[in-house]
Formats: sequence, structure tokens, C-alpha cells
Amino acid sequence: MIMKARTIHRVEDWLLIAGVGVALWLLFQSASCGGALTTGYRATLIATQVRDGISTTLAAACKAKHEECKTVHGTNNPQFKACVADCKKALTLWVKKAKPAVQAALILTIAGLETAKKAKDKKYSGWIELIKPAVCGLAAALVELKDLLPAKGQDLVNQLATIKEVVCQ
Amino acid sequence: MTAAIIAAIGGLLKLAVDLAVSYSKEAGLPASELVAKAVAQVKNDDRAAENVLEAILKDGG
Repeated sequence: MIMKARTIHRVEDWLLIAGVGVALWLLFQSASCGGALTTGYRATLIATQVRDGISTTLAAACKAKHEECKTVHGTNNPQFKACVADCKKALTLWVKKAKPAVQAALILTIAGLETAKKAKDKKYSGWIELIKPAVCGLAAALVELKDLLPAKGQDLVNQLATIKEVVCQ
Repeated sequence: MTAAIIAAIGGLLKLAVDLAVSYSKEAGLPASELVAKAVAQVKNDDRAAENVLEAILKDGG
């Protein structure tokens, strides 16, 4: 009885080991087959996260500044206007120019990657040119907005660093 | 940042045209479906930055 139970455990152990092995092999295969495409998809994910991070952080910082200026100066006067000027400029630039440009570049990059995937072009590197405006634009935005992005700003710079090295040459 | 973004958009337009041409040559998904899929993947419904800008402008900023 005990022998039988041990045998069953051993079979289960071997099945588990074999299962993990197969899973690792599949993971390795998908990574190596994906190659350039996988890197491209990862780049779009990072750029999307950084874009959202800038939006959220900038909004929070400027919301706080807006409240502070309102409390100190009231509203609809030159002092209030001067107090929120930096935030107004940064938000206008981000909302009207940078964000839509980044969005357009990301959409085109994913469409390019999907096209390459469909065509089974595993070595497709066209995504680098497509994502360039998004990644380099985000990097420029992070430099420009560094005074308005508190501690989180450096996290975003770090997050973007690797893909920036690849794309913004 | 403005100059970098505008330069980027210029380059982007050319690439967009090239890509649109390549869509029609692909046998797979139609362009509209590809773009819809891409839009869904990078969509951002968070309008926090837009809302703060509107609030600042409303208060005379």
C-alpha cells in the first residue's frame, strides 16, 4: 500500500518536472522565435506606461499647484496667472502636442508589428523607426518637464532608459 | 520639446504613408482592423491632465 502511494507520488513528481520543462522550453521557443517582434511589443508597452506615468504625474503636480495658487492669490488675476504659468505651458504642450504625437506613433508601431507578425517576418525591425517619435518625444518631454515631475519623474526616466538606448540613436 | 515633437510628427507622416501602402499588400487583416486593434492596445481614457488644464483656464490662468 505504502509502496503504491510512493510510486504514485514519484509519477506525479516526474509529471510535474516534465510539465515545468515543457513550459520552459515553450517559453524559450516563443522568446527566440519572437526575437525582434517581442522586443518591439515590449517597447510599445514601456512607451505606453511612460506616457501614462507622465500624464498622471503631471496632472497630480499641476492640480496641487493650481490649488496652492488659488489659495494664495485667488483666481482671475495676474498673480494667479503668473503662479500657474509653468503648469499651463507644460500641460498645453503635453495635451495638445506631445500626447497625440506619442499616441499616433504607438498606434503605427503596433500596426506595423501586427503586419509583420501576420507576414511571419520574425526579424522585422521597422518598428524602431515607427516608435522613434514616441520614445524620443517622451525622453524630450521628461527632460522638459523634470521640474514639474516630482520623484516619480526619475522612475519614468529609468523605465524608458533601455529602450531609448536602442531607439534614439 | 516642441521642436522635437514637431520633427517627430513630420517623420511620422511619411512612415504612416509607407505603412498604409504596405497594409494593402498584406494578405492578412484589413487596415481598419489592424488600426482598431492597435488603437485598443494603446488607448488611454485617463483625462486627468486635460481636466487640470481646463480647470486652470477656467480660473483665468
